[in-house]
Amino acid sequence: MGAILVIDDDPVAAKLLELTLHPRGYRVEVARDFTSGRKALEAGGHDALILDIFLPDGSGWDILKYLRNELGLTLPVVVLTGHRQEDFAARATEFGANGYITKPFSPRDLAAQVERLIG
Amino acid sequence: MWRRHGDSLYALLVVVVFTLELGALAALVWVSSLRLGGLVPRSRLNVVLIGAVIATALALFGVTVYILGYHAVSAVLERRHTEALSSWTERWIQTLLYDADPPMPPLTLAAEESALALRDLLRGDDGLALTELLRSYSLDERLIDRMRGRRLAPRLDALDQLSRARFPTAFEPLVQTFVESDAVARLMAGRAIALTLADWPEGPERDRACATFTRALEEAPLPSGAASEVMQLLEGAAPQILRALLSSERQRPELLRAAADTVGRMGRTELRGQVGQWIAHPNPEVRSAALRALSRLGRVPLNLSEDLLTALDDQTEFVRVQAAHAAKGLPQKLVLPILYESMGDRSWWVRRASAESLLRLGAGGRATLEKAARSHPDRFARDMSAQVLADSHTAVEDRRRPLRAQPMEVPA
Repeated sequence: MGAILVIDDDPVAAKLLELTLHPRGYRVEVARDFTSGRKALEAGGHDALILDIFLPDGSGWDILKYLRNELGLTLPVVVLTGHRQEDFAARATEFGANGYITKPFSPRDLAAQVERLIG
Repeated sequence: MWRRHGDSLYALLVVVVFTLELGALAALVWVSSLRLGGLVPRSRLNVVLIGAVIATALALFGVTVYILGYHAVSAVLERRHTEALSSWTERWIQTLLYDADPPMPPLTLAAEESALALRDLLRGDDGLALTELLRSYSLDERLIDRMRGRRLAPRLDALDQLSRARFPTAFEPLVQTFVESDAVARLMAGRAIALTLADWPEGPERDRACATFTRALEEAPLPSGAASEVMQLLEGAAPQILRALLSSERQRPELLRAAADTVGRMGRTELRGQVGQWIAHPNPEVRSAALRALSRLGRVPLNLSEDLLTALDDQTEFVRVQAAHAAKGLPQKLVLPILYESMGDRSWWVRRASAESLLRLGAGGRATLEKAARSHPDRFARDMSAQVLADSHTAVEDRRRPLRAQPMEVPA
C-alpha cells in the first residue's frame, strides 16, 4: 500500500508506529538517529515520513529542511514530538511539514492522518 | 538494577583495597621505625616490604579485574534488558490494539517498565485501557507502597512511574504526598497528579479531583516556575484549576504568577478576564505575569485599557516592558499615541518593546514607528525606531530568500 519511514530515537514509539501501521498494509522502515534517517531518505522509495524532532545526533528540523530544499522531495511529513514548545507547530508548517502531533498520541488517529496524507 | 548493585560492590571493593593498603603501609612504617632503632633484623624489614608490594599488586589486580568484569557483565545484561523491553512492548501493543491475551501475573520488571513507557506515549482510550490493565495486576498498589517508603531514591522512582501510569486510584495518595513531602518529592507528586488529571475523563469525579488539587496547590508551596510547569501538564483539566486559582482574592502571589503564566503559555483565551484582573496587583511579579499572559493571548479586553495604560508608567521596569508588549492587544486608535510616547521611556527594554509592538500593529503602527524615527523629541526613541525598522527589513529579506539547509556532515 505504501512505504513509511519513521525517524525516532525512542524504541517504544518506533515499535508502536511499526505495529500500528504494518497491519494496515504499510511497509515501515525505522531509523533511530539523524544519520541513518538521512541515509534512508537519500535511498528513497518512501511515501510518507514520520519525524521526531530531537534526535541523538541532530535535529529533525534539519532533516525536514534537507528533505524539502536539498532532495526536493514532496512526500507528506508528520512531525511527532514529545516537546510542547509554543512555536513548534508553526515552525513545522513553515519548514514544510503536513502534520504535527505531540506525544502522547493516539496511534489510531496518527494512522488515520497518515492514510489521509498518502491518499 | 545491576548498575545499582554493581556500584555498591565496587564501593565495597574500594574500601577493602584501601584498608589492605593502609594496613600494609602501617606495618611497613612500624617495622622501618623499629629497624632504624636497631630493634629488628634487616631480614624482617625485607619480609614486610615484600608483603606490602604483594598486597598492592593484589589490590590493583582485584580492582582491574572488577572493572573489566563490570563492563562486560553490564554490556550483556543491558543487551538482554533491551531485548526483553522490546519483546514486552510488542506484547503489550498486541494486547491493546489487537486483543491478544494479556500476560499472566506476576509481571517482571521489564514487563512493568515497557508497559509504563508505552502508557506514557498513549493518549485517549488506548491509554486508559492500558492503565486499567495495569491496575488489574495491582501495580497501582505496589507503586503507592513504594511511594510511601522511607528511602528517597525508590520513592522518586515510584513517583516517576505513577506519573507515567496515570492511575486514578493513586490520586488521593499522591495528593497526600504532595502536601506532606519535601520540595523534590512534592514537584514529582505534582507532575504525577497533573498527568493523571490530564487523562481523567470529564465528569463530576474529575471536577472533584480538580477541586482537591486546587486546595493542595494553595496549601503546599511550590516555586512559581515549578507550579507553572505542573499546571501546564494538566492540559484539558487546566482551565478549571486555573480559574479557581485566579479567582481567589487572597491567593499567594507566587501561585497567581504561576497561574497567569500558565494561562498565557497554554493560550487559554477564555481565561483572559481572570488574568486581566491582576495587572494592578501590588506585587510587581504578578503584574508582570498577568501582562505577559495578556500579551500572549493577543487581544486585551477594553475594560482593562486604563489599568494597562497605568502599567506603562509603572515604577518597575519589567512591568513597563510587559505592558508595552501587551499594549498591542488594544484598539489601534487608543494605543498608537501611547506607544509613541512610551518610545521615550528611560529604559532601553521598554523602548524596544514599544517599538516591536508598534511594528506588529500593521500599517498604522509602522507609520507611527517611521514618524518616531524621524521626529520623536527623544534621541534614543528615534534611534530605537530606526533600529527596529531596519531589523524588520532584514527579517523580510531573510524570509524572501529560499530556505537552504545547512551543509550536514555525514560520518563515513
